[in-house]
Amino acid sequence: MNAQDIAYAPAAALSAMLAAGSISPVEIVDAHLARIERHNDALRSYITVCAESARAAAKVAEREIQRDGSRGPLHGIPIAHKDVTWTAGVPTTAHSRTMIDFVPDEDATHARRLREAGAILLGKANTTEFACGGLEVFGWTPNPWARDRYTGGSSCGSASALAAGLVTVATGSDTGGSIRAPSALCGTVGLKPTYGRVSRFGLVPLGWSMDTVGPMTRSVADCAALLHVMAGRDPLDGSSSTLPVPDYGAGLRDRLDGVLLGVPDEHFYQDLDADVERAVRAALARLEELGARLVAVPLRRAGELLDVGNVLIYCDAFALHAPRLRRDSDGYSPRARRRILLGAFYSAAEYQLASQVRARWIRDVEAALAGVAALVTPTVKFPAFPYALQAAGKQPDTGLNTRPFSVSGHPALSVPCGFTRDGLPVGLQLVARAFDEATLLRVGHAYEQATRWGERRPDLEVEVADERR
Amino acid sequence: MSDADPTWMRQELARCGITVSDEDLDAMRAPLARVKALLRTIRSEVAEDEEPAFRFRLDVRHDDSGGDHR
Repeated sequence: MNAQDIAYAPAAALSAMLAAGSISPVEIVDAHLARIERHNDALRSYITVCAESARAAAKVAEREIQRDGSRGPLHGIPIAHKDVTWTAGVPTTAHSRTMIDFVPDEDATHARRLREAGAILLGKANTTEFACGGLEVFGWTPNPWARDRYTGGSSCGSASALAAGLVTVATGSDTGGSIRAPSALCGTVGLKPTYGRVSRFGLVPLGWSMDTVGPMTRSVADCAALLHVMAGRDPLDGSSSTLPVPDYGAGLRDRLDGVLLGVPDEHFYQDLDADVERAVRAALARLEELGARLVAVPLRRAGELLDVGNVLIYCDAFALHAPRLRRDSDGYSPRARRRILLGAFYSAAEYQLASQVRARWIRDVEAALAGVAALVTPTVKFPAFPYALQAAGKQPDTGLNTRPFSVSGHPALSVPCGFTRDGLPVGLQLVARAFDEATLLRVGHAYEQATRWGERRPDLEVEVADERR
Repeated sequence: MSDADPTWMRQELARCGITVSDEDLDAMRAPLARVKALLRTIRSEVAEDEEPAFRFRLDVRHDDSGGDHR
């Protein structure tokens, strides 16, 4: 296996090789660090690279595996955490000048669980400021598939690093689509778990009533392996669920015989980019070939959820940020500051109304899911767009199809489902009942195995050659 | 944009101890007015849709005057 193959290998394959002694964690980490050295200046996937500590952890993992065998599927596997994740002894900036010197003295719960499972922290992945603003401090993340295009936000660095082979697995946070949108636009896999499935302790918060933490990977099986470690009750996060965590990997199958999937045509399939529509319709046909049965399901009023979701998010965000804004309003970049300040202008009555709309929407989604295993929609209605639009504040809303399920709290998975004629990735979103991530992973895995869209790689070397000319 | 009157917006933030620039206010006015208008539309629709217990809460919320909060 050459260095590029190591960099793009799924964790499951690397783990098998590690257990068999045919590769060492040191080789895996070194292969990734070499690629980061070569490509991170251009891609800015990472804000902080932990080269020294990663090499040291790899040597420890090597000894552990030689002595006692592998601890599990993530032992010796490189990981990146979005830079809103507390990591003990490693800067956690949230891409904000106001946090530029912040070094937590403990890990976020999900980071701790993944570290204890043997994952090796390669670095902190780029994000928009406080997961809602711009990218002025450390620079924006060009899409590895087309460098004038944006990756989508806010877990932009995690998706970019995965697409570019700069890490094996990653985590992100999703309050309105921040895991799913960049996963779709970068051709990777991203899961927003049910609200409460994964502890948020140690996550720099945006909107407490919608924030989730989830896995980002290049394969559904790796996504299942990460979620299995990340999920579960945490006494440090009162919103985390006591429901048992299933073995998500055990339910993965290649067929979908008898599985009923709902297609909510209203809103979610309207105003699609032509290439996105073509890819998603082809994906629906493929799901049928795998044995699934598609039924149209009504799901009205999704459109109003976009603004209602923002009322909830930014009221929460303002409450959290008000003390910091009093002290250091100028430390925020304009986009984050303005979005968060908007939360100051809604009355308690308006917040309550938004909460009631959310309650009604949850009932609507549950009704739509009552007779089907999952809903299927495009993740983002268009492919990656030029960053110039983002910089000018004229970017299209990547959350049109994702935010409704952040408002409802249901789990949602984005898997690659093809490419546009320009070679830009397209994502398919699957949504299931609360705490039924297993069904999402099962459907996503079967589709992935039948199509293997996620195995395509962007040609980074061409870009490097262009830059040197 | 009476929902997004800059004097009122500045006062609201001042109550929280936050000063704000004219540029920031200008940038926030249009999105704020749009969302407040949407919420007004939704409010009447939700009131018609909901069960009686919820309607009672809406009735309280409709009275934003600070007067009779039954």
